[in-house]
Amino acid sequence: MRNTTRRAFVLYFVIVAFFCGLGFMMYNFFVHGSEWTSNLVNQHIYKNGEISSAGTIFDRNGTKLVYSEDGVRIYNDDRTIRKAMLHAVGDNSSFIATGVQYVYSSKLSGYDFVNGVYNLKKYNRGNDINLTLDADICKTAYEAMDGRKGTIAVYNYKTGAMVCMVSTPAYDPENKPDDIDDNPDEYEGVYLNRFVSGMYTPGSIFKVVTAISAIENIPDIYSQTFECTGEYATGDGKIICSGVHGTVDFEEALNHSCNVAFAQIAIQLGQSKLMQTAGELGFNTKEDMDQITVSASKFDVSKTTKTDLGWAGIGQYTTMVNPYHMLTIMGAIANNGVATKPYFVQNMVSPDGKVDVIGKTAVNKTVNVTPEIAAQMKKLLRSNVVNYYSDSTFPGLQMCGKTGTAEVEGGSHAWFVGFSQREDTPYAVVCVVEKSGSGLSVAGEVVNEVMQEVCN
Amino acid sequence: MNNKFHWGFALILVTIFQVLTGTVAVTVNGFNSTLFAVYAGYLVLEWAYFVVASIFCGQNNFELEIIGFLFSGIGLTNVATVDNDYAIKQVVAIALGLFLFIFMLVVMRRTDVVMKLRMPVAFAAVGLLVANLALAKYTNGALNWITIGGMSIQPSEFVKLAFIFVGAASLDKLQSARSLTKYLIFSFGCVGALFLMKDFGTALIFFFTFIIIAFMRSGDVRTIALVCVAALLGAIMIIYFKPHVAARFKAYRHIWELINDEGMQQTRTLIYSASGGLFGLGIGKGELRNVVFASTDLAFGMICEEWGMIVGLTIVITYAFILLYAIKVARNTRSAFYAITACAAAGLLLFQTSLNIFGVTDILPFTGVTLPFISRGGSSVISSWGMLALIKSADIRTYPKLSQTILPDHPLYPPNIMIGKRAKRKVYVPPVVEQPVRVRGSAADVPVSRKRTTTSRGDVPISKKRTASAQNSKDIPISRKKSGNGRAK
Repeated sequence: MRNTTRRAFVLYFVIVAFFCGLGFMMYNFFVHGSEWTSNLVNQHIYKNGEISSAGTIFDRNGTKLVYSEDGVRIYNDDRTIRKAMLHAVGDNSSFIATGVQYVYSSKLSGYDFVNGVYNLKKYNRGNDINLTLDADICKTAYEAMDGRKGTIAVYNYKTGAMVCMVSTPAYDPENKPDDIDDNPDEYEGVYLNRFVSGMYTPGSIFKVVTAISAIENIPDIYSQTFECTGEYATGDGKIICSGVHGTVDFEEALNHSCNVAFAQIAIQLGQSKLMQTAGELGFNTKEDMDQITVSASKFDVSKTTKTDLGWAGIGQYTTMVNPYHMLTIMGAIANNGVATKPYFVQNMVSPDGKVDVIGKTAVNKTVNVTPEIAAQMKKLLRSNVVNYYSDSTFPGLQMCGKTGTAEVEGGSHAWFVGFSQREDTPYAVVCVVEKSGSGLSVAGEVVNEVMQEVCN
Repeated sequence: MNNKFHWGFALILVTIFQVLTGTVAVTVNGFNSTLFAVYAGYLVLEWAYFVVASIFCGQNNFELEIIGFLFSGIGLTNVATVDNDYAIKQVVAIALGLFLFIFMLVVMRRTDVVMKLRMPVAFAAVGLLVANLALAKYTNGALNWITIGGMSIQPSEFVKLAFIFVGAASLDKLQSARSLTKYLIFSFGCVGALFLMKDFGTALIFFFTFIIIAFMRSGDVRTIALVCVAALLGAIMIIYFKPHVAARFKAYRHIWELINDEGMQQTRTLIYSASGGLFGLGIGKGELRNVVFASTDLAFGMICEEWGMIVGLTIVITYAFILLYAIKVARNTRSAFYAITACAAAGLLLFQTSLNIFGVTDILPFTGVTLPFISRGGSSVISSWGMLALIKSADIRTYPKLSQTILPDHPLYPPNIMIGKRAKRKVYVPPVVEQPVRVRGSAADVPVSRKRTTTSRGDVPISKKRTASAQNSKDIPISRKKSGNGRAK
């Protein structure tokens, strides 16, 4: 008998095992609770797979972009604003995986470990989210895109706050078109936010990278001259230029975006130098914008012929860039070598008024530009506008920038990357308009329309 | 008197809790007179039991009843807001459970009755399972339900009680190989029947309970290890070769990939339990209740979502404390029978709780066993009350006048296994002849074991059969073990 009861000690192991299991269970709830509650099947937040109860999303002027009333999500009254803000705000059904309504759904629902979604049930709303974006500027940008596909984004390179982020094509989340999945021409990649997820052939804007590498690695780059006859024979092929530029120096080569000169510079630099610079500028490195994953720009010339290296130096070849990344590089140049990370989610406000800051000024350590190179690039990019694009294209903005016309199958992407040099308007911009023509005339015009509204 | 007031006070607190939660349940969808009647009846039942037991039966230990009433009340409120019919069935089941509880306590008061009931109960249990297999139709992929006169019952819930009762009651014959074999046949018959019913959760509970009983009876770690390994291999083989078994476990650790298929119940439990937070969304305000079988299998999730995780955790942790309580009362109980029933019943409750809550949260495979007292289901509630009776009967305070009524030479009351203060007074310990340690299985061992058997059971006549079986080489390790007992104490 005494042994019988003493043998009950095995039951202590059962109790210990039980508490271990309980601890593991609570750990899981603590770590994964917010992910679990934001699942689409959670009827507290979603009805029939559509977000129904969640907090309000405001733009920087306090304009309601979307809010919930009686279990229905209601978007802004203005149809163009709804379309312009689609990719930032997100849709009801979480098709737009980079939208705030999806990425921050657990915050919008007001979930926390202690209260669960109680506040959502009690106040019929969760936490509110304030964006740094300006709905009116985005509307202007959306209209400027004029039905063409592409993206335009503007951010303050000193603080990192974005004021404009538009991706097209877009649709009205309040009245989602029925033919959206059957109309691949009109709605190609409509659920993608091209600013964070887009991958484009850079064309001439890549000359900025080649130029940085040249300044870093070729001491006499400013005294070199290049002969442009419209094409350049590399030995195993040839590079075609957009024009016949004659004898140009480094600065003029960038002004005219001379392919011959930059192919020569790329070949002169060699594969490893060019790849090193690209690496220092954050190519081939995955980035994220708070909780939104950004596609990584790709650059690899390790196995190229001379001709391909030349093409790569002028942004053709296999190189793919992401608009977010190009904007950060522009920011780094504009901000004297400090690459401020763009963000568009400012903060979260709980129903009882507690403010939780999400977007902060932060330095992107994967984009490394020294202050000297930033200063020289600034001069060169300013020279582009002053000597070639003309200040009358961007009146009053003191723009610095580089255009690009990236040749792709079926057309060419029009690019513009740049920033305003004015002390009071520290804004950098990236714009790509797909298969629409030349960089300056198409993208330059969109950028000017948007930047005029941003800066004035 | 102080003690009585103490338990009365505890029941008052429980009643306040039940009135508060019951008020919410009765009024959450507009005033519901049926539910009001159900709650009124339930409160009357509680207090009637308490008054009768404390005043007329001299009871002054109400730990288990208080827990039973509290949990039954939570379970009742939880199902009541889902459906009126559930509430009526549940409250009837609680009443029946309480009657079974009282009945079992009365029966188990006298160990001679227990001894007489052993075989009938074993046969009844096996008969129930056979009847179940013969009569049952597939319900939700298992055969564990039979319908009699419009009432669905789950016989395996009642067999659980019989399983512990028979296992513990055949203790005095344990040391014979024949008795052990009988119990093994009974156990594997039960577990096998459950496997045929495809009720793997309950089969697992039986197996775990078997391990506890077998270990507490023999203490032979190696035998237990062997049984465990054999069972594990068997289980692996079954899962490997039987696709429908494997299908049940397919979702384990893959619930998010099968979110609308096999992982449906588990993912919903996690999502809604997390949504409830620590303090819950309020009774009747949850969404998990709309998921299939929420009030039976997913009761823990419903409690977490609507009552809060603190309540959910408190409930399940209480089962660990019931087991601690059982271990404590087993140390000072009348005989090994009660020690084993208490530990096995409390162990079963905790194990079943673990299977349920860890199953629905994907920490263990989902087996669909109920959460004792809380889950909807008459058989489960009645059986849970029976488990409490098995534990409470081991508490010597339950039978205050017992020591005079039971003769010390009763088969379940052999003086040499008495413990505690009374044991010291009454036990006659025969002089022990020191024996050198023998190599197991050697011929020289046999006389020793015979001798030991004789001395340690001086007052129990040894049948020839017994002696013969003791000579069986299989028996020798057990008898050596026993000789160890006699010597040490």
